[in-house]
Amino acid sequence: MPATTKIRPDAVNDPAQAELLIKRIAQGDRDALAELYSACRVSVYGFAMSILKEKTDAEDVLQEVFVRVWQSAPGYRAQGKPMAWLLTIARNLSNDAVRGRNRLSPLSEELPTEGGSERSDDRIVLDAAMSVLAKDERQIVMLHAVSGMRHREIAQILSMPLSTVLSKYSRATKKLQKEIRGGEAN
Amino acid sequence: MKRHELENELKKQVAAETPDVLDAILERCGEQPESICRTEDKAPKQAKRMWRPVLATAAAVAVIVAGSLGLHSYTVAHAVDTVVSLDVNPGVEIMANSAEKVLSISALDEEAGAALEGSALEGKTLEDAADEIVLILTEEGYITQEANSVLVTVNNADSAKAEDIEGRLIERIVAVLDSKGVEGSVLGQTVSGGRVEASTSTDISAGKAALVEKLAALSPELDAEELKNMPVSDLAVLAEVYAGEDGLKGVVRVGKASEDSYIGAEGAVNATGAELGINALDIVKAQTSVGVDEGKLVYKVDIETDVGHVFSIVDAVTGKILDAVADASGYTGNSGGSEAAGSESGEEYTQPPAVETPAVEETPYVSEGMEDAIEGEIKSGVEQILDKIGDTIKGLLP
Repeated sequence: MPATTKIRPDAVNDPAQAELLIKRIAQGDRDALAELYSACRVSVYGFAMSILKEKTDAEDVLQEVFVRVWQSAPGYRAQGKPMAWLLTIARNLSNDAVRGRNRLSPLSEELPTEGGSERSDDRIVLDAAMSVLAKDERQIVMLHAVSGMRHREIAQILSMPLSTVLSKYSRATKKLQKEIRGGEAN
Repeated sequence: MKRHELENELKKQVAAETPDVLDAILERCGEQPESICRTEDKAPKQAKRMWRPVLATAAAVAVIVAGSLGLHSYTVAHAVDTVVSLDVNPGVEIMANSAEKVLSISALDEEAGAALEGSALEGKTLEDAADEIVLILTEEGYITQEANSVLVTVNNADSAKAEDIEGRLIERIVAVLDSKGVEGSVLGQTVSGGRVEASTSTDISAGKAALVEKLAALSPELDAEELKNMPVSDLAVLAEVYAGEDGLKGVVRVGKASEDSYIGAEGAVNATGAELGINALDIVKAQTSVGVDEGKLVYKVDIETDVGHVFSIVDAVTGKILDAVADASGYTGNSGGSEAAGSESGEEYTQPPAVETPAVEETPYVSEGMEDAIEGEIKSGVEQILDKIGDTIKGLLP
């Protein structure tokens, strides 16, 4: 039977649990922050990478997101979408980082692609995602494959029609498959 | 690598790469601030609009055209003044002097060469030569009621002259096709300002290349390398789909590309339903748009039922399902139909105009309670149905 059921980190999978953690964080509970971090760090880092394409910047965003969560938790209003909140913070910080980068070197519209000569089999899909997918496609693929978010949740986070998300996801995964096939052939 | 394997591998690779920065985070987290520092969810900024580069390109072309108008045009009896491309698959180029007399004919492929062998077109007027070529190609079966599209491209330094020739040739070609009982679809375009010379490519005419370039500029979904290998009839369909776009304003269309070779929007919806086991009565809304996938003309089908959303890519000729993705839970929100699709903010994407296929009948079979269960992401019977659809999709795909 094909693997249709996604295993997702608990706090990502269970919004109520994540909101409970945020409530505890708002009360100054550092263990709750560590727990939320542990459950969501891969999702946040993957999403930041999908925008920034650069490890160091994504690492900075990862750190900053959870500092912001700590600072903002007291003002968080539970709406049943804690991951969307977390990822929106990540997206805003990542976009700020892109703008800062563009200010430093205004001509470099293209974001850097990491890996280059250091590419290995351990990163083959990630490298392919970074090199052949457009920004929208990378975000959608990361949110679905890495964060385990449903397409309709992604549509809400990225403010896109669901049909567009599905279409882009389909196209993105085909591009990845093609790229990986090409890499294997070489 | 199958799709789910790809997803799992990506997840594994990202997880392996994610650094552990918890200590650094905790170091920065002191006492909770008294004043609440609420992170505002900023609305995403409007992406750079797609039409900006198009306008920039159009402005650049306009500057070039304006510059060319200031130049003296000189004519020499044997100098090429006009190049006309006739693309049907096969393709032909006609070189003519300033008096519109044919200097030479160039077949762009073996089929065209064979079809035109023995025809003496040099010295004839452009219109007569075009008549004769279209007649030959129709009689040879290259232009039929099913594949009824002809692309005419006129390249002349003088844009007004190019448009004049274009108009006369279209009129003549339509008349020739009509005389042969073919309701033709003729696309016309002009190229001015560049060098007027025969195509340097051995496999694609300058005219087809120009149309491909225009189409590819409309959407990242349209890849120039894929488009250039597609038949003119498919490009004509795409030109109709994107007819309202600024990038195609210079393309004249007369007649309608035949739909006889394609399964049609309804056929694509039916094919998707049949493959994925979706009962026609369960479809609340179905939308289709025409696009290109791996060099094939396809229908992109978006089916909404009461319990979920399915997107599929269907070969427009064979009806084969090339890809399908299902939303993994009962989607009950607004799918963002043609209006939403048209206003999406993605800078790298333009959704072709969607055609809504009316649902057979709106027959929701999920109770409100069931919807609540889905919303709560409880493993309901409805989700199992969707899982089954997901399994079916995965089973179908490579």
